[in-house]
Amino acid sequence: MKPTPRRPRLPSSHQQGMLTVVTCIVLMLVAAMTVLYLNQGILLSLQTESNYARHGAADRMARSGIEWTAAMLNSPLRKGSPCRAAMCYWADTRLACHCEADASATLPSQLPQVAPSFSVSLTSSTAGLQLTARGCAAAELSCAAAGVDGAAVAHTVLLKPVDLIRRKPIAALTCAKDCQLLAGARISSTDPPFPAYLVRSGGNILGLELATLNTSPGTPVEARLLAQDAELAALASQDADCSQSALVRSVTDLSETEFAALPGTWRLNCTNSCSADIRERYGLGWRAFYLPAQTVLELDAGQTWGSPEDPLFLLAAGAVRFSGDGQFYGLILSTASQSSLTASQAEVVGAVMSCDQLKVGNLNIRYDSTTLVALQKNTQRWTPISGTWRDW
Amino acid sequence: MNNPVRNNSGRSIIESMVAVAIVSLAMVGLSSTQSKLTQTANDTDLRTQARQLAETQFSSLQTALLSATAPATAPLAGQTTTQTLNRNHVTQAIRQTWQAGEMVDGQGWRTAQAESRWNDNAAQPGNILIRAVVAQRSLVDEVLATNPPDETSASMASTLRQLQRIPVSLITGTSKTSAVGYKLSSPWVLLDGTPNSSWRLCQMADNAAINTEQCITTHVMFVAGFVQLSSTYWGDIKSNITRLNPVVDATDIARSGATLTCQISTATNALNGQALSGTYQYLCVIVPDASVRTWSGMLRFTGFAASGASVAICRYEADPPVSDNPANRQPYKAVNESLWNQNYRVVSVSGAASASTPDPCQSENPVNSTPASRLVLHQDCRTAAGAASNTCI
Repeated sequence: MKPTPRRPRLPSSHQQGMLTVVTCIVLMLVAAMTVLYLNQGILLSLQTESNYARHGAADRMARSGIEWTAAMLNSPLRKGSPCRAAMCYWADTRLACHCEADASATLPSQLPQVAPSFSVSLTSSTAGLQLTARGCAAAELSCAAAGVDGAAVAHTVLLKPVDLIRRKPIAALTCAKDCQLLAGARISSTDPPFPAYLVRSGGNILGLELATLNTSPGTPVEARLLAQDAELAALASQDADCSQSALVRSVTDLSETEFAALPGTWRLNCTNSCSADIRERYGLGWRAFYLPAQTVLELDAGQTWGSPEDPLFLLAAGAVRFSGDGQFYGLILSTASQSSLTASQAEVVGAVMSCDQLKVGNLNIRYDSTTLVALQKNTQRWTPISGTWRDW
Repeated sequence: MNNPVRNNSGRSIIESMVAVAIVSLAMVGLSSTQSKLTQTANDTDLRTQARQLAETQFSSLQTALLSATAPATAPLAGQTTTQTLNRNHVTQAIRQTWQAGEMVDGQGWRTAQAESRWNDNAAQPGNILIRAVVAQRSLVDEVLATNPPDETSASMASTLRQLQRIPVSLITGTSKTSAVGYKLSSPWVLLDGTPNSSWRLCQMADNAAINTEQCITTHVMFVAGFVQLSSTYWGDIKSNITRLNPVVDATDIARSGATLTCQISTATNALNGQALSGTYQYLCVIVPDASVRTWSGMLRFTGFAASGASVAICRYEADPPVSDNPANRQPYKAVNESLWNQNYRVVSVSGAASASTPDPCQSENPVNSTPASRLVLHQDCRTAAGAASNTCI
């Protein structure tokens, strides 16, 4: 039997199957690409939202670094504390910070690599302080590492000092209205570097015959008295009841409310002993104090408030009294109406100002420009300047 | 006999079925993906809206915290709910909460956070949390930091003008004259300088303006001050000075080889330019020998006591205070170092003044006084025993 010749296998059957599969795969790819194409807007918005969220968080952290640093520089509690580099991170709902005295110091590696966080460093420049704040948003990412889009943002900004005392008083005693000198009042301006007035008044200076007035050698008293001062008279007419902060603004460029709200201002609570309160807060670093209206500050006898090198600024809407022979270094600015300042052998070294009529008796007011300059320097506050921002 | 065509057709059906199955599966997958993407798009829209609401809320909170009326201690908190429509026009609610942390006394900053919460289409909860640090500062600080304080008030400018010139307060109050005018052959003004160092003398133009191009720097010494006494006495002094130009102790002058010229004029109030009654200012220019550049001597005005009345010379306290000197001798070194220390005030005394009479100077706050028949404005160096000395204290 002649063997049946083996029918050659038709390769086409396999080829048709493969072709179908390939066609299917191609169709799938086309369909997938079509789906992707049709949904590209959605995918793009997803990516955008993701980037925006991370960048926004990092940016907020960097800005937080600027805010935190400015606040810490202005904090009375931080006076004299060297801190040129710091890192902060959120620990649950609060901020935990680590501070280094040396800007070039490397922050310790054992700090938790948490997010969000920020790090800041300060360098001195001729224009002020240069602050670089770096914010980090990505979880489980070291802020020191870069390379994740939108996860890290850095800002550099210049911090400039603002004087709390923008214009130093130019008289030992300044009254926007009348100055009434009583027996025992002693006013002196013997400060050679700055030829200040003894009394400067927007109204009249009364009771000159009762007071002892000292000027620099060679300077007649008459030349150091300034009554009916046009500038003060204008302030008094604009702010008859002292409610518009005209005199306070003339010194600080701030309203009384703004002054009281500054973080460096301690608001006295004179339901208790204000004297002890001032002493305690002065010891902690406060140099600006606000005495609310309807309260009385009784400064104890035999005490010294401030020093020539480190004086203090008291803005008093309430009444100030000296119990005895205390010494106050700095500036007392009274916004109380019809106020009086009397004491027993007490002395104010610096200056006294009042937005209303003021009676001064049995008190020594000695103008001292050195004390006022020190006060001006010690009450400066640092503020970031927007125009100096540089974003990386 | 097998039909290969039929066999092939069968395979094709199977293959086609398999292909259809694969494509179907793929389509199901793609459809599911499409559905998922659509849902994700809805969720993203919702998330975006929630983020915007949270950021708006945070900005409001930040503004409130920066205002002066923001409570420093009591935390700020609140909540609200916003209804929003998704792509499928289904209303969804986004609940917002915000809170500011308590500010620690003296720290000047606090934490603040705003949060949006919602449930997505699959009823899964979602949230956006924005939190940052907000510092307490005045809103005007940045403006103040970039704008120096305006110190152009009339009173301040007047004082500053004096500061820039010789610190003798009896100056002409007009803006273009200096502390003390010195008239040699033509009007000159003394602009600035450091006591015991160099000074600038500037010539005045005819219109009383200072011609700063005509200034010379000199090492001459200036003795300036004021005297206050009745016109009777003043007339005596003035006539004698004018005649003698002035009366000086020749011995002292010879000692240092200096020459001296004085000018005396009516003192004026720096503030209003008006003459001060009975008050006169004097300025003496002492030109010491170029090799010495110092002078120690006595400036003595005589003649006023010729009327027979007595005066007392009240010396103001030097800065720093000098030790008590019964002879009323002020260390000339101190005088020379500061113009502030070389002023005397002459007051009249009823009757003959003596050391035993009530000190007429006490009402003027002097350190010491001495009756005198002649007005000694500046004394030379003396020892404690009163002998002349080349060594000043």
